[in-house]
This record gives sequence, C-alpha cells and structure tokens, in this order.
Amino acid sequence: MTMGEVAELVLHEWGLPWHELEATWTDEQLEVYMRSLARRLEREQRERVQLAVLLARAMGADVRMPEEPGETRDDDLETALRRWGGEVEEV
Amino acid sequence: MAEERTEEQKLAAAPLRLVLGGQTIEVRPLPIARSRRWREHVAGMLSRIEQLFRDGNDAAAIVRWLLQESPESVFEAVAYYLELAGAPVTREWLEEHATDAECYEALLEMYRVSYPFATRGLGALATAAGRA
Repeated sequence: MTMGEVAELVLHEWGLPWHELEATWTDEQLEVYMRSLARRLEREQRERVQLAVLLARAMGADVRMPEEPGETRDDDLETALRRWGGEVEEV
Repeated sequence: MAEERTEEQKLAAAPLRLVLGGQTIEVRPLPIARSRRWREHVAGMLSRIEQLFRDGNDAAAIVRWLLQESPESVFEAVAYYLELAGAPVTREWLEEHATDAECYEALLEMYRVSYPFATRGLGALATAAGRA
C-alpha cells in the first residue's frame, strides 16, 4: 500500500486530510487504527459471504462451508464461496 | 528492555520511559511527520543494521556492532529524537551523563514506536534482545 493510498483511506475512513493526521497522530496510533480497520473489513466481508450463503441456501442451492475460511477479500461472491470450499449449484 | 506496548498505551500516545544518565525521562512518541524526519535522519544506520541481518548476523553480533562501532550514531539518533520530542534534556547533558548502553536501550524504544509495523531490522533486534 502506497502512502497515497493510505492518505486516501484515512480521508475516507476518518475524514482527516493527511497533513492534519501526520501532524497530530503517532505512528502507533495509525497502526492501531489500521489494524482495527482491517479487522472490521474482514468481519464485514465474512458476514456478507455468510449472508449470501444463507440466501443461496434459502433458494435451494447446495452450499457447504469448511471450518476455516480462506482469503476472500478480492473475490466475487461465487469465487469466494468456491474458495471457502463451498459448492455452488445453479437453481 | 521494556515490555511490548499495549493498544491502550499506543492510542493514548503514552510516553516512553527512558533511563538516561541514571534518570527516568518521559518522552511522548513523535507525531508521524516529525517521526518521518527522525527516520530520515537515522536511515543510514538502519540500512546498515538491515544489511547485518541479511548477512546472517544474530542479535548479539548486531548489538556488539552498535555499541563498539557505532556509539556516535546511536547517540546522534537518541539526541535528535529527544530534540524533536521537546524532551527536557539537552544534547550536552546527554553527552555528559548517559552511557552507551542507555542510549542503545533508548534507541530500541524509539525505533519500536516509530516503526510499529516493522518485523525485521531493529524491531526484530529489540525482540531478540528482550528475550536474551
């Protein structure tokens, strides 16, 4: 991740221009917030996939999930489900 | 060696407690912009340490190098951090009272708060020295 991308993320997430943040925040504060953001995004992604699985099952699809999910952040829904070990059947 | 800082300490920007010249001095971690100036200042020494790691040296060898070959660099890094942080000690006082070993310990603490994502270089060295 470049500093430009970090700056864009900071502005989007916390509404702070980079020059204001770097004048007031410490490296450790940014680290804690970045880790917290990463955990939140991971949780939201997992919840979205779980919701999609519920919907798919409700529509009659055979979706099976392993115990441990893999990396799914950049996947579209179908790929994410397959990476998790699920089998997606067209209804 | 101080313990790993908690998330609460990091969020509150809790001061570093550095022992220099036999006294405990509290120093607030630098904001990112000033921290970047400090990192630029010490970049040469840090890249040398990275090289020592890449060459397969263990923590003890690097500590030896820091203390024997580069005490001036360590002193400069510590003094500049204290200056940027507005610490209540002058460079002259530090030179007069602080030992090389104290400066080395202080440098590890300064490095740890300035490179929180680092897992190599001085970050690994600090961890290894803490276990030794």
